[in-house]
Amino acid sequence: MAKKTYDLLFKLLLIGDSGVGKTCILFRFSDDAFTTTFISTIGIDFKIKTVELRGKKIKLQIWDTAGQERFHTITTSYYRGAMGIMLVYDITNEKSFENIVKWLRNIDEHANEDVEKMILGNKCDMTDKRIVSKERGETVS
Amino acid sequence: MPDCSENYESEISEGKNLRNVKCKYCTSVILTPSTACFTSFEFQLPLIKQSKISELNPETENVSLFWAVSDMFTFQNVGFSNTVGDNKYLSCADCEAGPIGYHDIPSKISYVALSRVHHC
Repeated sequence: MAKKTYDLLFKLLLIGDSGVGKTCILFRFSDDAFTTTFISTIGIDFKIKTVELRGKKIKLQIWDTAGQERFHTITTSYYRGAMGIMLVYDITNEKSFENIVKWLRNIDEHANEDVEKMILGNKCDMTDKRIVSKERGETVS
Repeated sequence: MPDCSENYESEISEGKNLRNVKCKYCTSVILTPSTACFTSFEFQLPLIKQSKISELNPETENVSLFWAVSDMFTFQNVGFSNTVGDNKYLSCADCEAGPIGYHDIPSKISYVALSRVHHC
């Protein structure tokens, strides 16, 4: 049996309204975007990523709903086994911020009680179009 | 002996990958050295670029040289597609180029095609 090649493993979900940029968070480190017909037709289920933090090798298994939230198909099975959930909203979209509360309720109903939650205000480069203030974001957190 | 016509022989050391396995398009690291086992068999792998989008009937090519990985968390960075039959297709985690190989769900073994990645 091969020895384990990592120190820690975290299973994470990305959740939030459509169009807030969840999928972009997964590609944030890539500037050479390459969309292929075959893979993009079938769609990505999850990704495995490795990061190093304080000398520890950490494996992340990340699921992205990639638009499924539009069809309200996010159910218990999606949350099962998740250790962390990143709730994403768009700082230029009031509705996506209001819906964070709705997503939190959904998580409480379906996910493990001890799941770690993190709220992420995306599109911070568009400050001129910011609608949700930093302070309001911090209040909900 | 497996056919290593494209000079892949020098990439194999004691049955494993001698060097890093990286994405051909963005150099994202897929596997670190000596973490995957060389194996050879025939498989029809869909082409990266399809001239017509046809989920049920994609254009494929015969691929026969693979790096086999039995635990998916051995990968440094990789994407798993949604399920098609008994398989999930593997892609680059960063630029999503692929398929670079496939994952066999019943055996839980992942196979990365040597011809679809860089070794460096």
